[in-house]
Amino acid sequence: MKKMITIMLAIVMAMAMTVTTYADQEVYIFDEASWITTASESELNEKAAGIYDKTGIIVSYLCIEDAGSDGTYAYAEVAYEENFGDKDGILLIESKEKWSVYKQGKAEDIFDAADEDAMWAACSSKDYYNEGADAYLDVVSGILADEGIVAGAEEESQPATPVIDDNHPARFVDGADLLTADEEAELEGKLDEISTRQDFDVVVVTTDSLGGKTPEAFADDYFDYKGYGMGTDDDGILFAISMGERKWAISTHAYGIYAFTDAGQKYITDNITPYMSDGDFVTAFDQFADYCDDYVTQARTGEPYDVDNMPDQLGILAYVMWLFPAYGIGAVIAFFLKRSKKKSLQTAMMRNDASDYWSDFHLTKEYDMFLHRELITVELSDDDDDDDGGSSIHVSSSGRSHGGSSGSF
Amino acid sequence: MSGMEQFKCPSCGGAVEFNAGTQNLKCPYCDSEFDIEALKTKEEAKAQKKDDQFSWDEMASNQWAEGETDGLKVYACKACGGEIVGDENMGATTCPYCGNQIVMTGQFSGVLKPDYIIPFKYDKKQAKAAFEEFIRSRQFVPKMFTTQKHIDEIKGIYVPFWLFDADAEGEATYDATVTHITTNGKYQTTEIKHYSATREGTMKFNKVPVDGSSRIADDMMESIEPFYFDEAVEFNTAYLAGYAADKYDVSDENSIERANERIKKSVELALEQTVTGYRKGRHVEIYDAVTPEWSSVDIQNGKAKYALYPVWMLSATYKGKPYTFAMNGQTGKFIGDLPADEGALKKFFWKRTAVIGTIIYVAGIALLLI
Repeated sequence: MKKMITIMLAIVMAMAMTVTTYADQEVYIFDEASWITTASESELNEKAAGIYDKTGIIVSYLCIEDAGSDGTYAYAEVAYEENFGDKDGILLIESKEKWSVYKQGKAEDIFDAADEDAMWAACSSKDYYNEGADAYLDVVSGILADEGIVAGAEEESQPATPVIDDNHPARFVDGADLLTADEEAELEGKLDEISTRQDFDVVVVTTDSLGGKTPEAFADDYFDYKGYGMGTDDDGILFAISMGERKWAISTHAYGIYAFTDAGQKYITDNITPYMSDGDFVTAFDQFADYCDDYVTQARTGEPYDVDNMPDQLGILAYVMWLFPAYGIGAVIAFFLKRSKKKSLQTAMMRNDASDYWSDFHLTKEYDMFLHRELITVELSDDDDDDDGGSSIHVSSSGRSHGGSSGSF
Repeated sequence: MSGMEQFKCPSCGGAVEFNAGTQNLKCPYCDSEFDIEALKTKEEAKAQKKDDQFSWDEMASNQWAEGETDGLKVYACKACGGEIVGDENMGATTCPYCGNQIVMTGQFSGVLKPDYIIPFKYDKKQAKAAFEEFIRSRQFVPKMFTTQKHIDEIKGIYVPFWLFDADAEGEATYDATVTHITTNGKYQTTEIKHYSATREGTMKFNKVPVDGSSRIADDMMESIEPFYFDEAVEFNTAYLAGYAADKYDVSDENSIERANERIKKSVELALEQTVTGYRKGRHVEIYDAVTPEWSSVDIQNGKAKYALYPVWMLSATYKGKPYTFAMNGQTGKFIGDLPADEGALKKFFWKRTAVIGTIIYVAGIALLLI
């Protein structure tokens, strides 16, 4: 028993030690995975210290082998608090598999999700970890400069609760007049609430005709020219349907591209198009709004819904759908077992040889010759065929990048 | 151009071409390469294929001595028409094959005298015990069948067998392959080397038995084999005391075909077992597939003898259906088709479906979650 307690204590202590604390406040770059040389580490530390001196924002980088079961974000949070307490700052954590950004204080207001993506994009674009960390510092320092953050300057006070912006273009435009006035008001209220709370535009547009455009171009242009999108990058999603062509299209922009992956969009449209086909647009749009709310919340965790990470409903469906093949295979195996059991009751059978009765076997000729060689070369199935997830991007007529999808109902 | 030979690709059948670089033949269609000499030898061998030859010189011909069959009577079954031979004290009153009444029809006469007999080594009690053990050790026999012990009758019968001796000479060719799979970047190459293996060999067959009674199922008699001939003795009517004997009603000539089949198969198997790999000096390539291509068997000095072998026949009835079992009276080997408990089998099926299905389901979900 004593031994057990000792072992368990040792395990607990070992786990506690995995989150390393650094006594020296001058250190901003934490290389727990030993991916960066000491020389470049001190260079990076100097650079980060320079940013801190100039802006008063801590810019820290941490690389680890593996964050364990709590995930990179939780690990980053603990590491940040251990080292910097409640000071304003940002920490990019990178493990072999994952990355996260932890922000504290002012940094939470300065950097949005698109900024975080840009940091990671810069960091991961380099071949060496020290170069990656350096690129990350550059991006952060650039953003801080753009925002005009200077050490000691007081930030503008931001309202605690979001307020609906009355000047924003309507988030539900019922060009095809599909909903009653009440339904329209209710949907618009819902879209406004979600968009404001999430700081992310969720827009639904119906029209009688696409005016000769492709559904995709119609949605992109509607988004761009009507001025949708929230935050500095115009984050948002627009769902357009045309009753004339019976087509629908989704256009995503900025953070929307990140939050709504191709697989994620397909999941939404697969679920709502049947309602549209049945003429139940209220339910379709209502569900669309709910999905968008859920998707943006999910994306803020750093893992948007994607091929390997679909909403739970799909999980339940998969659990149920898997029942049939699993038990089907079970039944086939059981059938063969049963057949062999039944066969074992039948013991009378012909013997095709007379091997019990032969003797004196002599091999008088044994000759083997090589005849020919056959070569069959096949190209191995390319992994690219598998959907690795993510969002595909195209450029709209205004020259901006959009994600999206389209189809018929 | 006379004398120009056209070879066909053994892989795809296309006309092959000479490749000056490798000094070999190459198939332009499937990229297979061949050795000219090998292909030539094979084509020649193909032309020389022989047919099977079976020559049986000496058939069974043992005749009864005068007065030898005096004590033997013939009993006939009114239902199946079968004739049983026994002495006056045989005791059996029913047909061992169909269970119906038999009556003595007269003095035994005609047919050949058996050359040999293997006397019974297992008695009736042991046969019954073997039957009980046989059904107890098997799953899914209906309980009713097990508990009620449906044996109608147990009878010891000397079954007529033709025994065939022969010297066999076999020749066979096999297509053997060695497969190597290599992966180079995005491409996977499967290299299959084809070899032609020729084997010739001789072997002796001693007393291959073929059941000479049409009323006993052949599969049953072959299933209780082997019989060991070294325990056979010269036939004497005294061995028949207390047992029934059957007369052959399929002649030795008509039984030869079955012996030929079994001998040919054995020769092929024996030769095939020697096709293991391609040896070149110290280098050996083990074949991973051997396919028989062609074989011919020549049977010489064939001799047939007539013998009686001991068999216990058990008959049982279950749900109005007859079930017959047989035990080798020399070795105790027991066989027979048993009725199946369909209800228990159905239960077994559903239980297994549930268990296996659940395992697959859980494993699948586990994989999904990882």
